[in-house]
Amino acid sequence: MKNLFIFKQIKKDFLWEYSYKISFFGQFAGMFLTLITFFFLSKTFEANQSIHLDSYANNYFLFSIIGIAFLDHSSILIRSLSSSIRDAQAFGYVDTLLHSQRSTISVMLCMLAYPYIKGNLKFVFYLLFASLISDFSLPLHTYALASLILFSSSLFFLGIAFLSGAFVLVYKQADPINYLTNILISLLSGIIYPVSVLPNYLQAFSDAIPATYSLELLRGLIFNGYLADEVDLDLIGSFFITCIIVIISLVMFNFAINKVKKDGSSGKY
Amino acid sequence: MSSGIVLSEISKSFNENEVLANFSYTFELNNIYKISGPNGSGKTTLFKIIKEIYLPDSGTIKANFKLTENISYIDNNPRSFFHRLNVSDNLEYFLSLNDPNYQLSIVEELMDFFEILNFRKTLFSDLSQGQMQLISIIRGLANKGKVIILDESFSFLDKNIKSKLESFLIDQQIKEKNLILFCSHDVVFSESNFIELKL
Repeated sequence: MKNLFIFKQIKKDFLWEYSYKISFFGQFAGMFLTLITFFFLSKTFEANQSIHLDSYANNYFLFSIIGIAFLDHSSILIRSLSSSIRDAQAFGYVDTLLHSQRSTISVMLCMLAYPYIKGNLKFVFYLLFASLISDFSLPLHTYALASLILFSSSLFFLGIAFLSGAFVLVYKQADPINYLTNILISLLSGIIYPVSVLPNYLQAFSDAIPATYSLELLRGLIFNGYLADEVDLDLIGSFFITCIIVIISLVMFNFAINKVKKDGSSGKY
Repeated sequence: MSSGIVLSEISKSFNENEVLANFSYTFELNNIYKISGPNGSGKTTLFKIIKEIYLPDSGTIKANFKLTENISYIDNNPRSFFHRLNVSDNLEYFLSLNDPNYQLSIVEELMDFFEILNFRKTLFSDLSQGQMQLISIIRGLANKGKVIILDESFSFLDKNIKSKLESFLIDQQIKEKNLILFCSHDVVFSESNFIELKL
């Protein structure tokens, strides 16, 4: 059990990140700064009720913090694979990663384990810090259920991470998949404003992004204390899109590996 | 069929530059081969095709064992580690990546043999170039593959370590019947120990 590669990968990733101590602890300071900024921002609008925030107890602070924590979680996951591949290209161990006795996909999945854990922990820390600043507390089972939602939403981000990794494998510096996904989610998934404020034609795009449903489920859970069942139908569509993304990303990743094997460019950067 | 690796009609070009053209050769187990040739003659390309890092444009490679699992490829890039981790954490990670049934004791035995066991907890970035190269060699040797490829891996090593490595490889070839392929612009092994293949 202790010899499982996934544990070695998590240990290595943690030691690597922790070795940059200022950056490691700085990210928590950054979280706190974001929380305080949005706390005062929400205070600015506190007296004004918005129909768009009716479903969220008119609590803009908690609404935005859930969105930001979710975006942070997804960004960590999406960029992790491409940045690990980029490091491997630069330091020269990319061929060791791609040509070990293990299947490349399983190695890549293990490389996503630490970012996933880190993203989850940061999500919980965001909520805990927010509860310290603001006047609310969440029961323990809410955190557990929120982790479950994050886990299910990770499949979509995992697909994007593989697509992004494939891009970096072939085109090195370029990582437009990561950039575009972040832009799309930030603009359309209701991160710091509700989807309902968007014009109808943009809401249609928003509905096509699985992250929108995950976020809606998280907010439903945190604001109401239970998992809403009226979004069940949307979840089927979301799951369908996720499956397509995952299949495309795995095909593209294998295509990228074959391409760098053919043109001999895996180690180039 | 040969017990080693049979390469038939292998060709490989990068853009317009043809590096290998219809190359055929059989490397038998229990032998040491020196691949020689001027810079750019295709030595590294040949090694990387055998390791399946590159796909040939045409031709076939056959072996009666799985190539991916049985080839230890040691290059001449001593930087290909995690510099902010110590030697032991680096080796354990790569060993675990390469071999699902790895035994850490192999690494310790090798470090002991090359007299660098006391560097286990040293940060990789604090090692000299020669020590980094030696750790890279230990990473490759610890895999216990049937085939060991040393691609200019003797660079940066001092005379003492070089001769220890030579005797270790000759010992491996005799005991484990390994196939050892190497290229080096330095003088390594006495000529009676290897078969030379000129590209």
